[in-house]
Formats: sequence, C-alpha cells, structure tokens
Amino acid sequence: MAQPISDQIAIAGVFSAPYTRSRGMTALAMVTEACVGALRDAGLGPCDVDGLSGSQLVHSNTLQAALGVPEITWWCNQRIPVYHQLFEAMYAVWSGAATTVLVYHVTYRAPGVSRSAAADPFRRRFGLGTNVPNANPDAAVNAVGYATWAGRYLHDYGLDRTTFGMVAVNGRSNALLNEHAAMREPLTMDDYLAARMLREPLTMLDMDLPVDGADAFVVTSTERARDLPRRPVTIHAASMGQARVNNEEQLVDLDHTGQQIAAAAMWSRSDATLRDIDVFLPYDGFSIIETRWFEVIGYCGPGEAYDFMKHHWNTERERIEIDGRVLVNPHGGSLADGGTQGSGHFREAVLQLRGEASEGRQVPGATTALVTSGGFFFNSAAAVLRADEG
Amino acid sequence: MPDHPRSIDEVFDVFPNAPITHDNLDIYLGRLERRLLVKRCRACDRYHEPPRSFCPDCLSGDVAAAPVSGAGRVVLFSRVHTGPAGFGIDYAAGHPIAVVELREQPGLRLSGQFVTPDGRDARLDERVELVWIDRADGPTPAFVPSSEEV
Repeated sequence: MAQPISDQIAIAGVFSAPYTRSRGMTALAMVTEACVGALRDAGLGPCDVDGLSGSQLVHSNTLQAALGVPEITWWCNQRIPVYHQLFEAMYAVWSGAATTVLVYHVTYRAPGVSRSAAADPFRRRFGLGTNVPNANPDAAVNAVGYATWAGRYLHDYGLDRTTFGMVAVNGRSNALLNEHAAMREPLTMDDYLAARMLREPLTMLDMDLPVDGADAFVVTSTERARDLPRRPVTIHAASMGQARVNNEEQLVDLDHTGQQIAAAAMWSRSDATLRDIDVFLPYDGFSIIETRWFEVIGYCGPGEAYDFMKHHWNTERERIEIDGRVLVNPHGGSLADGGTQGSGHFREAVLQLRGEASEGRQVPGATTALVTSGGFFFNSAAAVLRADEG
Repeated sequence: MPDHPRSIDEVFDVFPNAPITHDNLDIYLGRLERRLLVKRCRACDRYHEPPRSFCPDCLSGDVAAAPVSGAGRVVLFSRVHTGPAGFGIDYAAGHPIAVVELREQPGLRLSGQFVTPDGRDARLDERVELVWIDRADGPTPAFVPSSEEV
C-alpha cells in the first residue's frame, strides 16, 4: 500500500558522463560533467541546489566548490551502490532538510582492477580508491563470495552455466541498441561459454565491466519538478534490505538475504504490482545477482530463473522480453553498459519513463519501472519509479 | 593471563600480511602453535565467526578463543584464477577455496584452501577435516577430504 512519501519526490534531471574503458579524466571532472548536464536537463543552475548527495570517491565539499554551489544545508558522502545516494536525497527533500539535491555517482578504473589500468601512470598515482583488494587469499568474500554462492546455486538446482550466459547475452544484445554502452560487439552463448574463467563458475563475462564514467540526478519534490521542463519521474516505493547474518561466508543461504527483505518491504509500500511493470532493471554486477532477482522479486520461484528467461526469450533479438513486452536492462546493464554500480539502472529507468531511450530499446509507453539494486550480502534495495501523470 | 606463551610481536612477525586486530589476536596466537581456535561465548557457549569481543547471540562480553576440530562439510567452493599476490599461490592452476561448516555448530563456517594429492575440486557437501599448511605468511589452516569417508 502506498505511503505518505509515495510519488511525492521526483527525479527532475539526469545526465551521464559516458562510460568507457578510459576517459582520460579525473573522477572530479567526470562528476562535474555529469552534474552540469543534469542541472541543464532540469533547467536549473548551481544556485538552485541546496543539497549534495555525494560519493566516497568525490566528497560533496569538493564538488560544491568545483560547481560553485553557494550554500548547502544538507549533504552526505555515501558508499556504493547509488541507491544509497538517491534514497538519502529522497528522505532529505521529504524531511525539508533540502529542497533540491544533486545526486551523483562516479566510477574510476583503479590500478588494482586490471593490467591496463595498472600501466596508466595517472591511475597509479591515484591509488586504489574504493577498489581495495582482499588481503586474505583463502577468504570467500567480495567477488569470491559471489562465485561460491553462484556455484552453490547451480548445484542445488541442477543447472549449468547457460543460466548465467542468458543474463550476459541479454545484456549485450540490449547494449547493441545503446550508443553509450561500453561493450557493443554481439555476444553468443558459445562466446560466453568460452570466456576466460576467473573464479569458478564465474568468468570475466559474469562480472561488471570496469569503466570510467559518472551519472548525476536532480532530486526535488514532485510539486516543484512539475514546474521544470522535463516530465518528472517519481519514486513510488523504495526499500533497502539487510539480514542479520550478511557476511559472505556465514550467510545462511540464498533464501535469507537482504534481497528478500528489500523486496517484501518495497512491495508492501507499493500500489503497483509486478503486472504493472513495463521495464525491469535488476542489478547485474555479477550474473548470479540478476538471476536471483528474477526469483526474489516474484517473476518466478527459486531455481526457476533459467526456465523463466528461456520462456520469455526472443530468439531473433537474443534477449529477454517478458510477455513479449517488458525489457530487462535495456541499456545493457553492468555487464555491457558498464560497471556503473547501479547508477546506470536508475538512469535507464528515468530515460525509459520519459520515453527518451533509443529505438528498439525504448519500451513503448512505459510508465512504471522496477529497479532492484545490490546483491546478497549488505547492499540490497528495490524501488518502483513512475512517470508523473500530474 | 593469555592462554598462549607466545608474544604479540611474534604474531605480527610471522603473519606480516594478516589483518590482525584486538578481536582476532587470540586466533593468530593459536595459529602459531597450529591450534585452530574460534571465538566462543563463555556465558551461552555459542561459537561465532568472524571473531568479535561481544557475543552476537547473548551480547555477553565474556568471549574467548576456544579450540575446534576443523572437521565439517564443504558448503561453498570455488577455484579462483586470480587473487592477492605475495602468498606463493599458483593462480594459473587455480587456487581451491572451500568454506566449511564445522561440526561443532550449525552455520559456523571457516574458509581455507582445499588440499588433495590429485588437486581435484571439492564436492559440495563432502566431509573434510583440518590440515595445517605452511605459507609465506605462517601456519595456515586448510582442509582435506575426510579420512572417515574414504
């Protein structure tokens, strides 16, 4: 059931500083580019901003000075993924702590993520940023945590890697229609199955693509957003979710994660149901996460994602079309649009609900989007966004 | 009085890369002597992982490192082909990591290298027992297939 806050807070502007393997820019420059674009998109300037919802990579004080925002009365510097920044901004505007909040997120390919990144002298001087590697070679945490639970999932349901391959192929096929996606070569199931194994059973095509880039969003009241040039996209329902036992190794099982908590709480606050959803944007930082979101959010039961994807597969376009209509990560997701740590999913929701996504990728007449963000351990969230009808 | 005669300086010398804290110091003191320890509450007898100074079940502060068998079953497994350098691990062959649920308590798990003569993968749910291996960063607990099962 809808809550007092439902649809009262809106995203009034969005802009992406494009994600590519290497922008040759600092994180601050990319954030500035995204924020300037989002403000222009919303028909606003720095003087209209009184809140900054920032990241740990570029703190809000740094950005405020760089953008020339005269005064702010509220800010935060949240960890990834970007729903933290978006939800914080929503509550700040709802509470009156700020009226117009600039939300931003940036990724910068740190030298720890690849050999090519390590060879870049600028990145070496930058340090590891938020990509601090695991120091214990035997710990099943971070990426290894996802790999081990992916293996458990396949084992428990008698499935093989083609399940995850469908997630990867769907993302890549969609990215072919997104001119801003970082990976734009077609991908077949055979390509997927031949990909280099990193952490069994997950290959390099099962994990998000390290990229440079930034997204920014203008968050304000729906009432105020209606006076601005763009059609407001409202936050209808949202929840985070975290379970008591949330450590990768100690997690009870995949049926007791933050995903279930976020999904149940979000649906309890929503008038929309799964039947109302026009576009589905599940987080896919690892393919197993998207696989599970189909099941946890209610499209199918545990272990049924493979059958579900197969049943709704468009063999001509090599992508998922739920009931021949609902697209899944039409921007390409983290695996192909780029490892945006969730900001790409919210950006795509806004573009879809404004009817501005490119041809073949736009769901015609989309009014309701479902975004499920984060994974199993300590970063799950879900939200329904709607095109404002006011 | 600590249960171990070894000095704190020695722990930092023998485990130069380990994230040693006041919460897990006892665990590493045990490793020096190849004793596998897990934090256990003396008020409610529950074990917990990762190591903490307060019991997450009853919130008692009377927590101490207690010996465990290291025997249990493999709950999670992955062979990884990339990982932290400096431990002498051959990632080309793949580094087999097992997460083992200890027989002492349901849900209590430790991770470690899975060791077999033929280098095979662990089977999920197979029974294992403790073995100590030596690495650049000191004595390290690892797991071998259970001798009871063979």
